[in-house]
Amino acid sequence: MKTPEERISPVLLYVDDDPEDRMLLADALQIVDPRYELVAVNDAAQAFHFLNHSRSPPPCLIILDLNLPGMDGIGIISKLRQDKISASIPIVVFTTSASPADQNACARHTVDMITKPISFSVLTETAKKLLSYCKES
Amino acid sequence: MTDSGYQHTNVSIQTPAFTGFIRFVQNQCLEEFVQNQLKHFSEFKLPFLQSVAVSVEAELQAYTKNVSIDFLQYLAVGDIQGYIQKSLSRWKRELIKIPGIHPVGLEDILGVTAIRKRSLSALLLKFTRDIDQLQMINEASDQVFLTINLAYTKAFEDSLRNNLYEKYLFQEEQKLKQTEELYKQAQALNKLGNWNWDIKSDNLYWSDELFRIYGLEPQSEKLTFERFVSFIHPGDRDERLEQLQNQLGHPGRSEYYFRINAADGKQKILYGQSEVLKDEQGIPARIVGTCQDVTKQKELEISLYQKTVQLEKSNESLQQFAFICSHDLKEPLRKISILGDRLSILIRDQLNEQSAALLSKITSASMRLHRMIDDVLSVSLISSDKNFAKQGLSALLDEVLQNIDLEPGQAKIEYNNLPQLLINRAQFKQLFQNLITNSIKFKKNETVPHIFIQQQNPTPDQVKRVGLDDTIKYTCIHYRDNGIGFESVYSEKIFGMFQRLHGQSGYEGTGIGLTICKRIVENHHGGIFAESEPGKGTSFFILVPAE
Repeated sequence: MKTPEERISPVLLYVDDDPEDRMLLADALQIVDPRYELVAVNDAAQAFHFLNHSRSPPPCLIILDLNLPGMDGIGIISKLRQDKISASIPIVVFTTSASPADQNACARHTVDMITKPISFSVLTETAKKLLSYCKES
Repeated sequence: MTDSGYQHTNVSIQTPAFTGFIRFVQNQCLEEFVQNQLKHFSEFKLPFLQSVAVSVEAELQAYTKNVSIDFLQYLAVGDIQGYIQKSLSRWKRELIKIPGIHPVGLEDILGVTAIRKRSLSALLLKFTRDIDQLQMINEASDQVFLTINLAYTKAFEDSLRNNLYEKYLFQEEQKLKQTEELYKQAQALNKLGNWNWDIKSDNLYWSDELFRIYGLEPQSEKLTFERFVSFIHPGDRDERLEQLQNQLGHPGRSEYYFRINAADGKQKILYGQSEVLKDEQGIPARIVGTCQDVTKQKELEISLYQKTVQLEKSNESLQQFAFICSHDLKEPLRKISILGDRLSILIRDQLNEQSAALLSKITSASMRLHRMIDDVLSVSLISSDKNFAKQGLSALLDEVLQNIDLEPGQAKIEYNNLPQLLINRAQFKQLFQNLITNSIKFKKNETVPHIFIQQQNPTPDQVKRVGLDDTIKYTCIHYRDNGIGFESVYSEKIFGMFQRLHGQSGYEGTGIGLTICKRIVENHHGGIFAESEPGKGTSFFILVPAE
């Protein structure tokens, strides 16, 4: 993982408070396509800080966990959709939750929901699928 | 007994000729008179004389003589009534009081009188041969004996009537006593008393049981309204008095509950019903009512309510537990499997065969645990989904088959004319999906799974077998396949959670499929059971309430 300032390749922004999940998705992405870079942050505050202060183009995809400290995933989606610049960035929810309430909330915001897998081989498949959401710029 | 009936026959028979004849018999033919009677007695064999009065001839003779002396004595002074009274009291004393002897008694009385008359007449020619005199005596004699017979008959009839009436009264009294006794028993059994309050005189009547309800000996004191009020629990007193006041203003039946502090120190809950009765002027005169001790029932009600609340709480915590399972337990488990998986990939080259196998066992075990937790969660959520709608089963099965996505020739599934039922669509789809995938999974080698689904009317035994309420009408969906089947001893076990009849290696799955089926059917207020034999396929009977 590189710091935001050092990056040169297309970026995916991943918001998740779980350090292992952040590490695993970065590993899986590295295996699937090393050209992409995963910027993984802990919460909404860090996510918006990155979006507002990065001098480079915006990320091609934002991946959100739902249960987060502070503002939750759905809250982040609402806020992103109100912002002119970020409104056009694709969003995918990546979570352990399979509850109907969360599914409904995602459907309301027309955001796809992917369940966190329990094996690494499935996770690499998931990484491929995530890349397919990336906005080709 | 009244003697008014024969007063009119008390005509004068004091004819000198008759009196003379009687005196003649008294003085000169007494013995002959007695002998005549005895002779006739033996001829006629009167029942009473034969059976009861005297068995020895000498006694009958003495008896007849005494009666004859009496008879002649009364007639000599013209006192027929006197004779009638005396003989009646003798008959009554000796005869009529004997139960069941009445028919004999009348025959006897009239028979004896006739015999006496004949025995007397036989002596007439000894007294006179004067035609005029004979005629006068005969007339008088006829009159005397007619009077006697009429009096006897009347007296007998009266006695019979009185006797019957007494019997009737006695029977009625017994009946009344029995009814009262039953009523008292019924009141005691139901702890139900009745009362009656005369407003003006403040006369308060309580039945025995009501006294007992209030902890008092039955009818042990004279009651007043004030005394009644003193028993009412202070917390309910004002309300009860207000109810009574209202009732006087708005007559009609009223119902109420109130507490009392009974005389024996117990606090009780009573249920009462009462009604105001008005007098001719339309003014409330009395209140009548019943009162039942419902303390036990109320206590049961309260404890039932508390149990229900407890049950709801425990159900709620069970749901919470399931939720915790789904999230908090699953999260670290997911880490074990995915990190284990990642580890095995990273160090694949450094592992020998044995350690690679061990690592693979760890990840597959954690994945199996993962699936089981999911299964427990889905089972626990079944009963909370009460979303029912009318749905045709055939159309639903069409959808299920589309979802299963069978390859051509993989299985043959037949159904038609299935009913419409009030069901939860998603759950019933899962029910059939589980059954069908089971049938395919447990097919016989070298055979194509063949499944028949049809509707039946359940037999009473089937309804009983799954413990359903037999007052409700059920429909039965009979599902059968031609699979490997199982021993009938396992027909209950197969529905148990994580029960597997076949080793883990042979067939996939955690063993939750039929548990889910059972919960789904139960959530529809129905029941499911299975019948099978090894090698002969399996039948599932799904009973759900008919429309």
